[in-house]
Amino acid sequence: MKSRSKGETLIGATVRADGSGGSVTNEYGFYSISLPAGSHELEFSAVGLLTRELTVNLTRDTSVNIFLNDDNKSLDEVTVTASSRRRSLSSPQMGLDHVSTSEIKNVPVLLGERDPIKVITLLPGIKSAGEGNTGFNVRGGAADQNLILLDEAPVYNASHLLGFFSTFNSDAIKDINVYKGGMPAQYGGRLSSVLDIKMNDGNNQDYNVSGGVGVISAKLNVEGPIQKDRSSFLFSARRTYADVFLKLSNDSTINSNTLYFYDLNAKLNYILGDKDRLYLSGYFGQDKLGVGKLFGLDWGNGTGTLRWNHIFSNKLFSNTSLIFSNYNYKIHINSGGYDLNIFSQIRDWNIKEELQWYADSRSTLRMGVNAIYHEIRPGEVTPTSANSGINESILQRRHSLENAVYLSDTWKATDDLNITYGGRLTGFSILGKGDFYDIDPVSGKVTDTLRYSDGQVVKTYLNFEPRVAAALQLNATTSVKASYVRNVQNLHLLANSTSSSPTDKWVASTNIIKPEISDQVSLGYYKNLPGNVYELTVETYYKTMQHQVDYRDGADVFSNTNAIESELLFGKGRAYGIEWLLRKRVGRMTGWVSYTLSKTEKLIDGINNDRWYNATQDRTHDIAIVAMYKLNRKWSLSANWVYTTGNAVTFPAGKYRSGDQVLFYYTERNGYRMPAYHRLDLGATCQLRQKKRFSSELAFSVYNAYARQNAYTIEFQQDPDDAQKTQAVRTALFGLIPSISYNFKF
Amino acid sequence: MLLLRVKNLVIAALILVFAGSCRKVITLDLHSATPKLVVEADVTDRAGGCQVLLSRTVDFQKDNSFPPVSGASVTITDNAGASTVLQETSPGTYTSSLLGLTGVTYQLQIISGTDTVTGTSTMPVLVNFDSLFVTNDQIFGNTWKLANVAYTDPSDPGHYYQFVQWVNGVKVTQIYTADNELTAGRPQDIKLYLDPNTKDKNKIKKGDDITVEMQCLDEGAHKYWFSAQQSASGNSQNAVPANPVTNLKGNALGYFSVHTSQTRSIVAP
Repeated sequence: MKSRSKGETLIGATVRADGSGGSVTNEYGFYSISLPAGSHELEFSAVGLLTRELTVNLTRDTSVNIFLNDDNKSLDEVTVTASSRRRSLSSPQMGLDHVSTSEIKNVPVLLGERDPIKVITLLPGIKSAGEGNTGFNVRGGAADQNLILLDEAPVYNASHLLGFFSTFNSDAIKDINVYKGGMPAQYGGRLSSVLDIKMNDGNNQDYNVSGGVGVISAKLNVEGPIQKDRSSFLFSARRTYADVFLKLSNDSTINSNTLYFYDLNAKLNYILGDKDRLYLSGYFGQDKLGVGKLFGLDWGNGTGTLRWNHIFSNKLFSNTSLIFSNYNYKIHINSGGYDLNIFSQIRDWNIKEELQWYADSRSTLRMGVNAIYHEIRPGEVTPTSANSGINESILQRRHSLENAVYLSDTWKATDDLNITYGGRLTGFSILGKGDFYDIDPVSGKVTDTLRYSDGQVVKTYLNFEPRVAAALQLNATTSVKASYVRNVQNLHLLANSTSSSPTDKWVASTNIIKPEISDQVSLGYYKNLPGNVYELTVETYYKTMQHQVDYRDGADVFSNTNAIESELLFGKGRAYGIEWLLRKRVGRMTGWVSYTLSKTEKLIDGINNDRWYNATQDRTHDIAIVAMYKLNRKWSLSANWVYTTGNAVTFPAGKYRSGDQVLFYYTERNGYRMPAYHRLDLGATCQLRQKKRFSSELAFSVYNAYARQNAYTIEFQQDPDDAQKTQAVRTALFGLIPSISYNFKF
Repeated sequence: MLLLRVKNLVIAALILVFAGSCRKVITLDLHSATPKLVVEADVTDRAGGCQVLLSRTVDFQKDNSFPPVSGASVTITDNAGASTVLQETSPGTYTSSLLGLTGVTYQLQIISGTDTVTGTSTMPVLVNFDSLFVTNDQIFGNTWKLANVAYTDPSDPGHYYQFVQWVNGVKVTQIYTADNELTAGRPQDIKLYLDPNTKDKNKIKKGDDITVEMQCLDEGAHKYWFSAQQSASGNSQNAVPANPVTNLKGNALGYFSVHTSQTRSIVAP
């Protein structure tokens, strides 16, 4: 199924036969439905598009390609516009949230920079890792436990500008799904969530140019057919220009600084006959931060995906993907006697083959194989001048192979009961060449060094990950679901500070660092309230996490040792909670109210006297209210309000003197709370003149409308005016921040 | 280390520039803690450098007057077995004329009431403090006068340093440490950055007297100061807050540092 006006394939569109049952299109717009021979009424529908009905007389296997027209009428009348796809009552999939591009467009954001990651943190169970931080915590998981995929390619650092913005340019994005639990078997590699982002394919009917100019960035999006109906391209670019303002200064110490990021998204796709389709997509983003010639930090991600869809038969759909992904950072320092570069990189080569087999009207199977080769360069220091005060130092490159096979079956056991069962078998092989270590678990000292040659297998971790989910539809408007999922993670992000940094270190499992394992059970209740205007979702979960990694106290995160394990401690975690989501999908006013009550704890050997303690991201209450209101054809308004309990933090209980200065005395880890965080954002969009092809709008937003001084950090220091006193100092990042941006399309 | 310091400075500056962030002194309801013994034990290669200070922690809200611990027995024994008993010259201050000798490992023993605290530390080889000078550094539109320490790192591994800075006789409350993991055999120029939030009146100005002490210390003592700077200095940006990693055994906070001491002074140009 595709949209008529753009030729974009439709994901998650529904096909119903004879007013009941049916099928949903997959991520490539493919569907398959098995019906007895004879005449059938088919109904095709998708959000924002006109529903189409068709009568088919089936005598044999038949392909029906469907184009749906834009639903312009509903836009004009402003009465009924569905804001997002309806969640399915009958599908066993739970813990899944879908975010539509229209929601991303309407939720007011910081400096007008639309950001899908900021929108998903307004959903229950997904918490922002903090202001100015792109990281997010799903059901108590750490920020590195989210598998972030852009057209199937993992993105290792999804942040720009040290975390104030995400790497995802909303103009290039077609579809976003977040799995908080019950992950289908085709996803693996991270413990807590999957954020699956699909880029637009590009319009194969007509040329389109859209763009925008905002307070801090400008963007441009061009798409169109290469050959009408058969091939198309998409190119999207964004650049921030905070540095342009720096350049305006006459002061050379200011105008010599750099501070910007850009990103490019590109996609080509070809239809090679009825049965084959090729997609080539890529992303490249780069951040540049520099203080004169003194210091520079550049970092960025690059991904590339080549995909081939092949329809073997009406029941067998195949997708083959070749995927590349890369993250690196470079630091330049020219300070006094130090001239040096530091480089670090993680790079993946990835091949994946998946088959979807619509076996019969009761059973759909998905099976696949996946192999990823990881190369990590943890750190390489090179002097850039002969008399630099530093030596060349190159940490061992680490290589590993992550293999997986998976199989799952979605089985319609009865008319009311759907079950998905299956599993994923993963093998993680650590490869030489390199030195590996035995470590004394108490002191952290290296007790033995084991030397491996090129290509030699150091160790293979084999894990089976069962995935089971069931949905029981109680009546036309109510269902209950349950699921159990195990996830295994072999890449770990070591971050010592409370805020994220581009220089946080990715490490693969070693003989000492074991694969992280999580087991999650969840239960859910789903109800469509009268008239299908409101949807109520209640989910509860309990999750355990094994082999969690933490730094030792006093660890040197910039340490230049190959034996990184000597700086680490290991332990476990547990998280449980209940999530409520009441969503209004249709009407002038759309939006949702979400509330999460949860608990997340850790037990790390050697921390807090080996007792359970609250994890940093443990926030008891988390509330978000999002409302979007279509006032008239010209104006639409939006608002969101968030409230969360403060993070668990470590504050001092006392203080003492050490070498003529005051140090702070800590008695327990995370024994205190940051103050509660709350914030109101407002937005308004004004449609300007609409000519034949040209339309434009002005978007206004106010971030932190009542200028709440939310604590970003609380620090403790000597009172600068009184040698006898110490004080606590709260830093708030943002007051009220208004912004305006102009967007156009033709 | 060096990187960490530059990075923090940049991030702090960036946050200030980018967001015009707002800092405010607030009142927090902090628990109170049972007072704990605190040991500051130094042995140096200079006369008058052997001193052990014993005190106790106080609650955060209280004044910075730390109750001295009197009447303790404080003994330092070298690896040849020669013991020195330190005399309490004023409440909580225990001293002796002991001079630390290169390569000698010293054992500290403190008995105070029911608490026994022990620790060991070794006097490392002295690395010469070549010079102290002041540079003008441009950091986000502001000019800072900063003190620089120059020395040449020996080419063998395992050298550790601490620098203590005074401006007009007032100690700068910053901990500066260095090691030679990446710098062995190279000439060094360590810039003693000031806290980006330093008030103007406390910044270095022309004519200010700057004094810097360079200490060569062993791995355990360095670890204490390094981790103190990272996680116990009240700044939550570097690392999760925690007590520094001590080289003492027993129920006490603090350190035992046997170190060299070289001091240079300069008037800021």
